[in-house]
Order: sequence, then structure tokens, then C-alpha cells
Amino acid sequence: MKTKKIDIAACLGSYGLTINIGFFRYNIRSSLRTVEQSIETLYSDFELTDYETDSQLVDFHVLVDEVWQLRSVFNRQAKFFLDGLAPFNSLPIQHAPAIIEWGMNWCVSSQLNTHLIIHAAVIEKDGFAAVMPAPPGSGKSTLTASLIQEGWRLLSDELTLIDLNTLQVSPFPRPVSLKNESITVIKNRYPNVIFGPISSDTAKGNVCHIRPPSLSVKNQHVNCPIGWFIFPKYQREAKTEFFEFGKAQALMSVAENSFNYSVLGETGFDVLKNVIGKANCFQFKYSNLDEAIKVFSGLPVPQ
Amino acid sequence: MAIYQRLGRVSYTTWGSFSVLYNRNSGNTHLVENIPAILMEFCFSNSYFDEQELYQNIITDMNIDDQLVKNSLTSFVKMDLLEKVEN
Amino acid sequence: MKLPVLILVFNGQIEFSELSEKQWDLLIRQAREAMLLAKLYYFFKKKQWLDKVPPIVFRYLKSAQIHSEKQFNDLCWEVKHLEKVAKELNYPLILLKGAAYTVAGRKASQGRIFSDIDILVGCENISNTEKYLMINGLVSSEVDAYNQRYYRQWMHEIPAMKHMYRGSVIDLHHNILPRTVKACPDAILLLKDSKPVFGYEGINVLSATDMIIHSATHLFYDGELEHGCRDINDLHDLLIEYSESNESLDALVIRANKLGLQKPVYYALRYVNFILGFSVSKGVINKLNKNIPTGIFVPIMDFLFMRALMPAHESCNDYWTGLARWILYVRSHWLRMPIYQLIPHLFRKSYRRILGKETH
Repeated sequence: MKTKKIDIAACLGSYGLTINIGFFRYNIRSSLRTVEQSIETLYSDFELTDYETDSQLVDFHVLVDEVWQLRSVFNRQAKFFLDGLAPFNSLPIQHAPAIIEWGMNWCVSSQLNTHLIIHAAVIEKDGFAAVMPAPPGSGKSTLTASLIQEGWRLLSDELTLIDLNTLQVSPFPRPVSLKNESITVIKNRYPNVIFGPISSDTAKGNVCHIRPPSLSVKNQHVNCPIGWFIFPKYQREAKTEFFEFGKAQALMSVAENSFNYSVLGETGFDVLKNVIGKANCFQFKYSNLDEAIKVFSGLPVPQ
Repeated sequence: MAIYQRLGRVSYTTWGSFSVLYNRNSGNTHLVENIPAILMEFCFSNSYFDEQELYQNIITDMNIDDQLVKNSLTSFVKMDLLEKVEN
Repeated sequence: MKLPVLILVFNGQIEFSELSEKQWDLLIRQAREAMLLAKLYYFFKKKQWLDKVPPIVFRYLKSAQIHSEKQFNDLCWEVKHLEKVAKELNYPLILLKGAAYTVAGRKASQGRIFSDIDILVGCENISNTEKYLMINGLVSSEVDAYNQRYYRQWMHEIPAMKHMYRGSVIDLHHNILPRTVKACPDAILLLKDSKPVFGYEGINVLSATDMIIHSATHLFYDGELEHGCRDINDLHDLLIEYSESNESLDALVIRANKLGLQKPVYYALRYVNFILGFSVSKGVINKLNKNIPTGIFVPIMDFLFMRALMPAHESCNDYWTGLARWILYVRSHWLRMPIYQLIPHLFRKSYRRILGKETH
């Protein structure tokens, strides 16, 4: 059920706008117009409700608003708050749409231990998830943003959530973040993709987010087992290379890319041992997006 | 010959020639190569053992030489999985 | 002042079935702020309410419990390393607070989130202990010369030591209050009565009464009241456990009199009663033989502490909470140092905080 434009602004400016994303409920407040516009553009397929009249029980109460600092003399500043706690320093106010996206990720990665959380994109096809752990610079965002236009379902572009009991991935499909050249690449390849506002000159360069595919949002409660762990690495002018990655090394790499592997202790180790045991693990180097998409469509089906 | 004490429970798994060991006490995870299963099984299931017992138990596997045993024991001590007990 | 829903749940004035959605929401947020989510998990577990908790609430209780279990594991590992240090010394290392509750198996350790490990040794043994801790990989975390001097001259502890690889932090104390405090107890009395811990060699904890008195002293003399709600809950757990194996609190009061720490024990018993419903007879309180607040002081301290001991969440604040916390912060410094040192010290702290060089 979509709320009218004027309601979104009113909700954000008063008790809050509630959004259901995967199994999470966020209550968002902000008096900033850029945040309102960003949400309108990027979250139009999500169920948005007025906090005042809806259920009062949510996972996170978040706020992005202007704050007054010494730095405000040069550039107005905005800050992200989770229920009064500010985990990051303030940033220029024009980056507010990016701030809220980063903040919403931070809430999950810092508070949740019922799932093993990996810093990885995860997409699904034919009932199996492909998890792509990748540090910045690996090209994971461009790859993810392309694959979800080519028949793959988006489960998440940043946080892979593995249920400790079922070992399945719980979707958390949100606007996909793009940086610098990848913004141009995706704009040219997929002119129908909806872009949110671009935040220029952030610490990461130019950053923006694209609306997640409607079908991914519609299926945001459909979990699935992991079929593949794929470690992508974009390298300019490199030949496409796709080869098996030893499971022991894959386990170590995934653990290194996890937010809460160490907190989970023995459980974390057991979960990784099991999911990696059942999945196929690959390393993947590429420079050509068409070839990359072809490799993904030809992945061996897991047993 | 030295006596070793197991320092606590360890979880481990092996794929091919590589094993991943999780030390439940220190919370650290380690990647090792070419340590035979029979050697790990013995080291991690006894609270105390001396090297002689160890050699007797793995004698069935002809591929394990002295150097491999010594290196493995040294690694396990470094990983806080075993402790060399002074006589 | 109305008590927050987290407190009402802990003191039994509200049952889970009476909680509205709004109250469940506030419960989680207050517990998160007060670092009591894990404790709440164990509270519900004991009452067999866990399966009746809404899923959104359960996932954060469970997440916190998992975190606290890991901390427990890490602490045990650290104490094993401390045993090695204790072996080199001819005196025991006495653990304090959270670390002590854990190794001694106190109920107060359940669901507790720690940061540092606090250790007490005799004043004459500080240098030697520091030396052996350094040999075992711990380095001082304080680089500022002023702060180093401040600690060693006035405080009851030396600057925190951090392990180079493991990241654990040790706070080494020679008393439970700074030298400059009038009520500073004779540390020898504490050391003499300390008890060895079953399963550990060279590791002791304070006696049962001293553990309670220390917890009360730490809470009612220290300025760090952001953890006030957690600390009053710790005190409550310690007192309940103490009452289970002691017919009365007489021994506790006698000890408080001996140590000269009647004031914090008075406040402890008073507020554990007001907030968490722990019953304390007037007769017991009357046995505290001096230093008890009287007259106008009592309602003033009630006004301050009944605000500062609540979770530091906006839903628990009223118009006066900010002022109350600030007054108690200044009070804790005033209790610790003479006025001619207090003013410059507070100035320096504020200045450095503006520059972002200090966080407390």
C-alpha cells in the first residue's frame, strides 16, 4: 500500500515513516527534503506506513537531521542517529540520502547476532543464492547492479544475513549503492533503472543508489540456501578468469569479511563450515561485464 | 620426551589437504596445510599425552615423518591449542 | 517520578502479558541504552517468558545474549593469562567488578557486558605487578603526561593497560577509592579478607560483603552514571544472592562501619529498595553508625539519584534529568579532589573535550 507524496513528508517530519525491509521494520524521521525525495524514489515498491497509526514496535528508530557544529560555518552538516546514538561523525548535509542508507546498514551489522552477517552482496536464481564477499574496489556493486537486471533476484547488495538455524539467507533488499564510474556504466547499460540523488564529493567519491527491482522487493520474505560463494575482482582489461577456490581458504576469506563471525564463536565456525561445505566456491576476475554476466548464467547447479 | 596438555576444545574441518581449526578459548581461527587427520584426532582428543604415545598412535600412517610431527606440535602450541608441560 | 518500563519489568510491577506494543518498544530501547538487553534475556528465561516475547524483541535479546556469552568466554581466556602472571608474584591478583562476578559465578555476571578487567593489589605491589603485566604484553594506554601524573598522584588506579595483540584492557588498582577521598578505606582490610577463586590459582575476589560495598562505592562515588542503571541492577543481584545465604544484612552493615563506607551502603540499600523493590528493614539501616545523609540532604539526593539511576534514554528523562546528571558528575569530582585542583581539572577536561581529544 503506497502512501501519497504529501503523507511521506508529513510522516518523516513528525512521528516517523515505517518501512518493512526483509524481516526488519525501520521507523525513519527526517526534516530534510533530500531524504524525503530519496525515499520517495527508491522505496516506492516497499510498504510504507505512518508510524503514529501503525504498530509501535519496530527494530530501529532512525533519524537523519541537520546538526550544528563548528564545521557548519563552512558547510551545513547532517548526522545519523539510532535512537539518540550517533555512530558516525556529521557529514555535509547534501549527503543525507547516502547517510541514511549507510546508517540503516550499520544498525543491522552492529546490533544483530541471530544471523551470521557477511559484508557481501547476495543474489538468487533458481532457488539458490550466490554470495559475493568483496572488499571495496572489487567491482561487486557494478556486478550486482547488472546481474539484478539480468534475471537475478536481489537479496542484498551489502549485508548477507545467514540464519544460524536454517543456514538460509534472509533477504534484505534495499537500494543498491553505486560509486563513481559504475554510476555511468549502469546508466548507459540499463536506461530504465531508477536512480536516487547523487551525493558528490563524499569520502568515497560520487555515490548514489538505484531502486531495487520490484520483484526483489515483492519476494523479500523468501529465504533460500546458498549455492555459491564467488569472490569477484574487477581488474581493468583483465581476461575473464573463473576458477574453483579451495573451501578452506574460502572459509577464511568469508570469516574475514564477516561483521560478527568472532562474536558468534563456535556457532559462527559451524555455520560457515556447513554452508561452505554445501556450496561451490569460486574466484572470479573480470573486466568485461557481458562476459561476467555470461559466467553467472552458466554457474554449475548445486546438488 | 615432552608431555603435552590440551588447552581446550577445538573444532576443525578438512577439505583436501587444508584444514581450518577454530580455538574455542582464544576465539581464533587458523588455516593449516598437510596435517594428517589421524594426527589432529589424537592431539585434540586427549587431555594429556606424551610424544611417545603420539608416535605409537600414528605409526600406521607411513607418510608421517618426524619433522611433520614436530612442526605440527609447534604450530598447535603457537595456536594455544596445546601446551608443552615442563616435566 | 514515574519509573520507566524496563525498571517496572525488573521489579515485578509489570508482567509481560500487560505490556502494550508501545511498552515493548520502549523496553528494548531502554535496555539497549542501559546495556541490559542480555540481562533482560536471562530475566525472561528464568520466568519462562522467552517464547512469549514478540519476535522483534526476541531477536535483540538473543543477539545481546550471544554477545555476552562471547564476552564471558573471552574473559575466562584473559583470566587464564592472568593466572600465568600471578604465578610470578607472591601475592594474589584480586579481581573486581564484572570480572570478579564472572569467575566467582555470581548471578550478577549473567548477561553482563564488560569492557575492562579490574584488578586490585597492595599499594606496595603496584610497580611490580605493572612490570609483570608489561612482560606479558600489556602496555599503558595513556600517553598524555598530565593524565599519567593525575592517575599516579591522586587516583586509586594507574592508567589502563592494553594487551598488544589480544586487545584486552586491564585496570590496575591499589584501592577502591582515590587517596584524596575522605572516605578512602584501608585497602589492607580489603586485601586481607579477599577469597581465592575455585578453579583458579593466584586469583582472588573480594569477600561477599566487600564485593557489595565496592559495587556501592563505585556507583555512588563515581561520576560515570551512564551505567547507573546497570550498576544498580548489579547491586540488586549481589544483595539478593547475599540474602540467600545470610539471614540478615548485619554483617554487611558491620563491615561498612569498619571500612568507613556507610554512605554508599546507605544509598545502595535505599535505592535498591526504591527502584527494584529489594526489602530492607529500617533497623538494618539504623545500624550504619555515621556519615549518613540527614535532613534536607535526603530528598535532594533522592531527586538526583532517582533520575541518574534510570536508563540514559530520552524516554526516561524529565526536565531535570540533564541537570541531575551534571550535578552528580561535578559532585563525584568534588568528592575526589580538593577545590583548588577541581576547577583547573574540570577546565582542562572541558577544553580537551571540545577539541575532541577526550571523550570523558
